[in-house]
Amino acid sequence: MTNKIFNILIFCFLPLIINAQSRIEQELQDKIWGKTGAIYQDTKVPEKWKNESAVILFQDYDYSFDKRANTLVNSTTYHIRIALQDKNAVKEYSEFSFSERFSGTQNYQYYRGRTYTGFKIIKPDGTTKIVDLETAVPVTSESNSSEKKIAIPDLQIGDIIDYYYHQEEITIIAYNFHVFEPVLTTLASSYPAKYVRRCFEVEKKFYINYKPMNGAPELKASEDDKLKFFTLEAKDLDKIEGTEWMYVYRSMPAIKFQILYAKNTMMESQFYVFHGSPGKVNSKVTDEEIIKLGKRFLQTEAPKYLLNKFIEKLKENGIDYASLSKQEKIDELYHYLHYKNVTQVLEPYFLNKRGSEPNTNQTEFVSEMIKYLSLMGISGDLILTTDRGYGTLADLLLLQEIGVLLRVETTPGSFSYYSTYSLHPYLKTISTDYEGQPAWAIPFGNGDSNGTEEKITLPVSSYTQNQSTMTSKVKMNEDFETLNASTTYTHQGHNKDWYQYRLTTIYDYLPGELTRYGDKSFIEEVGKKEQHKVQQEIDELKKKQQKDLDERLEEIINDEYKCEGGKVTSFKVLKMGRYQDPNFEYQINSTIPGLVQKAGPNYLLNAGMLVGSQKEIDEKDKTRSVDIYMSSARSYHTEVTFETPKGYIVEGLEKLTYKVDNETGGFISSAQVEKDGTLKIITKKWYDHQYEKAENWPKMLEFLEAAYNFTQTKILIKKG
Amino acid sequence: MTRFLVLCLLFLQTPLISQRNLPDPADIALAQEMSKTYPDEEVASINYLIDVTFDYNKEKDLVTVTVKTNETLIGLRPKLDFTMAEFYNDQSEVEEIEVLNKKGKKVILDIKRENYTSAGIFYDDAKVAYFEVDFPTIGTCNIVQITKTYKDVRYFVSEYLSAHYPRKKSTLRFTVPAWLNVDFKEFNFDDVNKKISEDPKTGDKVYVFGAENVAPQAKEDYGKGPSHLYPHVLFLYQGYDIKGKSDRGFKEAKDLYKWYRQLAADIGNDRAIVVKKAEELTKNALTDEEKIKAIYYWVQENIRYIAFEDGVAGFRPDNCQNVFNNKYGDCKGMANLTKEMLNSLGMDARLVWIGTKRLAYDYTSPSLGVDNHMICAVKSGDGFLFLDATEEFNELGHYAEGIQGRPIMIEDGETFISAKIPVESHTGNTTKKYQDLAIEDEKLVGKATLEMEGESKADLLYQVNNLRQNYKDDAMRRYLDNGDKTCQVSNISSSDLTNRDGNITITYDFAWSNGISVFGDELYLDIDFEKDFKDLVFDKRKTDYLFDHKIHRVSEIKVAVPEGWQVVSIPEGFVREHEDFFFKIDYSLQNEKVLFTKEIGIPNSEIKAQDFATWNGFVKDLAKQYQEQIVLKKKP
Repeated sequence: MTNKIFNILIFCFLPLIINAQSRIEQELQDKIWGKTGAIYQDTKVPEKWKNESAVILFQDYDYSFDKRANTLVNSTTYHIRIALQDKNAVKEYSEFSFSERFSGTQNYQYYRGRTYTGFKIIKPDGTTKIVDLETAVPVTSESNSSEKKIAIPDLQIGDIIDYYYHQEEITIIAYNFHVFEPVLTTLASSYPAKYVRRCFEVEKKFYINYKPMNGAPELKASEDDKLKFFTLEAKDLDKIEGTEWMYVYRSMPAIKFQILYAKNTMMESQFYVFHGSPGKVNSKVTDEEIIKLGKRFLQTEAPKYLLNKFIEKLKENGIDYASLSKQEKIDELYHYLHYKNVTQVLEPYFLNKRGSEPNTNQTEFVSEMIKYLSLMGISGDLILTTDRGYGTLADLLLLQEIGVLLRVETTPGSFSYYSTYSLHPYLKTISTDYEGQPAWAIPFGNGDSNGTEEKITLPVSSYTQNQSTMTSKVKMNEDFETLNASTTYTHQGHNKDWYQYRLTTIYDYLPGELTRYGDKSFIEEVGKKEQHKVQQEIDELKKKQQKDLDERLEEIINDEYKCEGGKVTSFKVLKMGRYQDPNFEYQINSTIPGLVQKAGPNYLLNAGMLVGSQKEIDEKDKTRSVDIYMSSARSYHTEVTFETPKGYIVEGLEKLTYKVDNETGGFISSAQVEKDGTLKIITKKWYDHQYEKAENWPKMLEFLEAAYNFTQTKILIKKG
Repeated sequence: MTRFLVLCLLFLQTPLISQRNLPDPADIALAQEMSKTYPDEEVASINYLIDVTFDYNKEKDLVTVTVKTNETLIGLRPKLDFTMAEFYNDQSEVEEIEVLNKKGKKVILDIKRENYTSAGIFYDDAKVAYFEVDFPTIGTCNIVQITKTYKDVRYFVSEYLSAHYPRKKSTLRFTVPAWLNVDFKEFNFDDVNKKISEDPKTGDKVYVFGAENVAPQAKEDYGKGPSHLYPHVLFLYQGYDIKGKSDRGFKEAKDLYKWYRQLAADIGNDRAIVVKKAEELTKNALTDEEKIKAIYYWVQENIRYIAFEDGVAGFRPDNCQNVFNNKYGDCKGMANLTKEMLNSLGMDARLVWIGTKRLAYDYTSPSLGVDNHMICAVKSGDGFLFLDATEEFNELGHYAEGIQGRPIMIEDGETFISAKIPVESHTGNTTKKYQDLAIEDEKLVGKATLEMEGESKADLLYQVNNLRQNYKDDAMRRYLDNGDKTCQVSNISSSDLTNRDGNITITYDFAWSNGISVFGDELYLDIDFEKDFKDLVFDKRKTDYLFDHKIHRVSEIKVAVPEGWQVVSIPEGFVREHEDFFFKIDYSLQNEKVLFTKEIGIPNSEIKAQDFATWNGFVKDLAKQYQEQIVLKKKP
């Protein structure tokens, strides 16, 4: 009965609901497409951009943050007018998708929303055609989903498309404060833009974080009784092109902003983000705020049993906690926590996601370390810094830019840093994201700390610390077409991670770790009835990991020697490079095709490639205007011993001698025939710094080009 | 009360545990054995049976089809959630899906139904019902039962004995009532048994097709369509005669045509809307061919291909004014617009139904499975020119590989004209490269000319014209220098790269440092920069490899012997020939120039799986040949 009444009511009011919806849509369209001013009538593409694929004539973002009754209303309108100058652009803008309705829960608060869209085409003769939204079709599911896509009709080269997305999201307030999602974006995009505008309409009592970067404009402010209005405008923006070793937020005009709501200023304390005063634009995070955040982070207490359990574990492993030095205690703790949070849970997690996910969250890990260290009576510093990709502390505005580390003065004047950013941890490295960054050290513990916060600069690793060594013995196969190489690779410091991820499976280190802590393996922990099933899964996982590893090895060899069809005949990990072990070391035996060419009775050997392929810089990338942000300083050493085939001699070794050494790095190589008749090729390439100014690019090119040219060098294997 | 609940729960445990879907040793052994044969597969089918029955829907005067599938799957991997999917559309429905464990107990399923859009299709009416079947351990068995119905027998096209997993036993059973006329055409039936029996009581004929140890369908790119590769039957509906009602079905190709034609009729073409544009485009055209070109190229250039496959609309073209106004359409819409524009100029243009090379069928087996494409034909002299506007850069009179040689139905009033799209030779797709080079500063330098025709040209035009215009120069440079840093390409000049007519010519300056190695008084010349095909080896592939089009590449490189040097050694020529591919390389010395010629052909655009060993041998030899150097020595 109730349903019937409801249906009748719906039936009665449906025309009203539909009319209201249409009215909103029409009002929006009138407002957005009815903007006045020359900018919004513009259809002219500047001469300098005539050869671009598309040109943005204007691009507006209007953000609005409002409180209505017990809801927060956040709307975003994206309105763009773009001239399409080639087929690629026409295809790019010929189909759109959108979600008419959406809803969900975030931070335990329910939100729902709607998206309104409008598309119109301006033809070269100035006529305008509005796209009928009724032609949109559903994207996926039969019902319940409001995902739709629409094909834009009559769109041709030379047309201008003018469209908008207006998204209104309503969040039901469950708390007395709310933190809206931050926005961090560049002003330019992949097409050049004549005019870009961002407007913020914010209730006066909301908190506003905003910061322009790299020449982005400041906000212009105005207000009425209830709202504050902020606008930024930028003109004549070139497109952003993908460039290697570039941090876009440090090189291109960009902005970051975030809006916060608190019922009253008393509720400010609930924010776990930086903020200023209500209604005022906050562009700066003060030292005090960072210190306050750090201290808040440190307000944790840990039950004593945690420490007892750790000590017990060490005891089971034959280690007497009391007899350890301070450094050893911390190292053991780090090892233990990493094992507990990451290594131990890996196998069940990989076995079809049983158990918890490995926890590599830096903040949680550092927090846990501090709890233990406090219980152990060891003092240290919580380090708050920023990710290099976002800037320095001076650029800080958003919480997501903060990086958290831990520092302990293990011996006077000597600090050790800890974090868990890697699956394969090593004690003496700081993530490359933070190296060299200014940071705040917030002391904790009650031991020998001096108790005052200090601003520090995080250490930077040198190229000698991040070193890779390749020692290779190569001989010509009997067919004189392929080479056999037996190569040992050793990677240290930051050079290790990439190889460790790619060339190890959990079964390379898990058994040793379990033994270290006297723990049973996962299969021993499950019930007897389950064991058969789990064993099947483990066998399957091992098989899959081995298959993936084999494929990766082949890829690595083919990349290394720039060949197709290279084969790995054997592979062995010699050192894992985890925890205190500085080296990740392995041996690959391989067969390499394509480096030998027949030259009458002689052979040409592409000897340069035996040290491994080198970076290729494309002609168009030889000029550079943006600074160079690399992961770290680093160096690569190779020593190749080539067994000259019997009855042959080598010629042309002088071609293998290079020497480039400047303040950005270098490449040095030599080749000589040893007493035993073998040919020894030695190279060293290094990058002095993790960062170089753009003006140093030509200097970097000197050694990068030298290394590349070296790999193209051939020598003669001459019938003696 | 609590105690009572606990007791109840305890009692409940017993049957639950006893009904767990645990495999018996025989199943485990079978799974292990199948795993050895099919090491990459996750599940296998022990027994697959479909039962197809037919009914007459008096109300709609249509024959309906019910397909009941019963398949026992066995897990070859532990803890596996295997996704099964059944497709349907506006003409069919998945009525019921059930999964039983080996003990016959129903498994709770989460069946999701969604629209299904495959790559390249903007919208179609295809839907998919999918669900996950749980195989906790190796050897676990599940019985999947699906009932699917077709509203109209015309849309029931084929049934396959193979799947994307292996099948130990696979059976297709069709029970055909006496009032229904059907036929079956078998494809790829090497090891398939066929039995036909008749039920004496009902007069029903029962057709059974069975096979054992059916290999899984390969998941390989650049392959032929499944109808060429896997055992299946094409179902041919040839009418019914029941209760005074009868229908011819698709007894002959003309019946299929009649049905197509009826769908293409009355689509509401308003030719008046397109005639103005047609006249504008052809106002300077002097001949019919020029008019055809103007219209054809305009549709290619201006109508975006956006595929709509919506129920019966999958066979019905959108009307010409919609496609014209929208500037987008699918193949049918584009064919119809081309036809209407040409007809508006007084020409004789018609729709053409065609199945691309992806399909193994022709009109000797009339069925809706025979066609998957539509083009336009226009009368030209005594014959027809065929216009496929979905091929963006095809030249008039040339056809894409995918339709060459395919049988077609050209509309012709009440009847149709049966024809085939002409087959073109690989020499029509020739890419020729000439290089006139000298040796300077240990580099090979000189002028190069690249000429392309046919589909080689159409491919390049497509790539170039669909790039962002500001990237075109860079892309062209990379195309010519193969992305090899030791090669410098400059001063690129080309014929009009938007022109579909004639050959395209690109000239450029070429310099390559890696081609010359000097050691003392000896110089080694690596004359061929391209070294094409040296890495295309089929070592794991199982099915025929298809190229986009027939290949024919010709290279001629001349290198002037530098003054003071003489050629002391030239590699021997190289010829490897097979009916489907050949490689020819020759070296000579002519007028103080080293002359290198190379010709590579793949005249049928495919390498058959049975020839992979031969191909691999040729390519290995070719790679070895490419490594051979020409040796020059300083004159004494």
